[in-house]
Amino acid sequence: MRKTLLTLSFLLCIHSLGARERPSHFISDPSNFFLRETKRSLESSLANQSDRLGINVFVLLEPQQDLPLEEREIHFKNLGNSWTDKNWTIISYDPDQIAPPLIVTGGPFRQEHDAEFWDAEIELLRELSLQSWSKKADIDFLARQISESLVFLSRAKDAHVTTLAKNYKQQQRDKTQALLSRHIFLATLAIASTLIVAFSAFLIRKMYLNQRKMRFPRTIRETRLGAPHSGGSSANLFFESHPK
Amino acid sequence: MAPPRKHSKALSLPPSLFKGGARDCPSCNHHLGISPSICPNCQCHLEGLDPFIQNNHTPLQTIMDTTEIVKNDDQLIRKAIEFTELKFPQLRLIFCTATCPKDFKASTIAWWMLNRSTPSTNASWTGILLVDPVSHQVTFQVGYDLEVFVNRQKLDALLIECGQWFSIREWAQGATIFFEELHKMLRKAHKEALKIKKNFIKQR
Repeated sequence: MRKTLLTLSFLLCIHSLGARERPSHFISDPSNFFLRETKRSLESSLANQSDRLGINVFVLLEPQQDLPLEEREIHFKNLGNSWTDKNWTIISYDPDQIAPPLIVTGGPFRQEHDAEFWDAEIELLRELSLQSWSKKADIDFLARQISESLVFLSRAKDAHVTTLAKNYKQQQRDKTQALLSRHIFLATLAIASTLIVAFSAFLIRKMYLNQRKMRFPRTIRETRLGAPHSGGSSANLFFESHPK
Repeated sequence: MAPPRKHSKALSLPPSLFKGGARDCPSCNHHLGISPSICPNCQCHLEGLDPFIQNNHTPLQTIMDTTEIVKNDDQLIRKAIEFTELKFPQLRLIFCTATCPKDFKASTIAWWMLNRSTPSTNASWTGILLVDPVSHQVTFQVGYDLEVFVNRQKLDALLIECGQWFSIREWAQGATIFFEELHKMLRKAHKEALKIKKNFIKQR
């Protein structure tokens, strides 16, 4: 009896957390957060992209379960994977709360593309969605932009955009490296030029000094001992003679 | 009126401004006063030497190896002399080897040669290094114009250094070293002389 009760309670818990059928529409809006026209237009757009490109963006505008963020992310990840095996995104937002929308993505593209880039893109879109004039997040904008971004990524695969982006990063690195090398080269050139100029100046000065003729100033001549040219001196040395 | 610069070039400075030059008798080493016509100690006078020294009026040459002690090595000495003469166009340097007459000092003979040899162009700017291998003497005598720029103490030290080479009969080596060191000495003297001249002109 106890085992049966435990099993039932576990199943109920599972059901309450994740066991949920795929909704018939991409937008679940029980509180009529969207205007009818907006809702119809967005639903049409999301359905169209799902049909053409297999991109599923679900917008769940429902009260949030009182769970930590990580558990809610796991919950929606399980939901998304159970609803479709293609690329998907779930945007969960409670209009009655001030919490920002939660965006969880999944599907094959995360293995094919730069997940870091995609997470940054989602974060940027979330920030942009919160910058509307109303107090609520602009979920229409968010859903459309995420959808467009997924379309871009799916097409980018064919166009090798990721490769191009990597090449671009490599180019940027190369460019920075080239710039650094150029600066080092210029600095070396400047130092070398300075040294060459200094050395040349030194050589020129040395050559000039070597070539320069030196003339002594004239002095008043005072003759002595009746000698016309030299007065002589006693600078005389007797040296010893040794055999060689 | 001549421009001041030209005047300063032609200016003759008093010898007392310079440290070089020792006024002593080439015969007896007696210190002489200003312009004595005869040595008060030994009565030495140029004309008094003429009867004792033969071969008057010998023309001065760069190398005068009358005793033939340097022979093939004279090129080294000639090179050193020509290098100094090139840098100092006023100067004329002579290397002479000779046997001095008995009872005559080499300094007396060299002094006499400087005054009596012809033609005597630039004789007062001439320096003669005379080596007597027989009496083992070496002397360096200079003309009036050059003597004020040759420091006597340094010259004596240089003669002692060269005398060590001459004592082992390395005549060419000793003479070459002498002229090379003399060149350095003259360079310094020239530098100092220009300073003295500049100061003298300023003070005038």
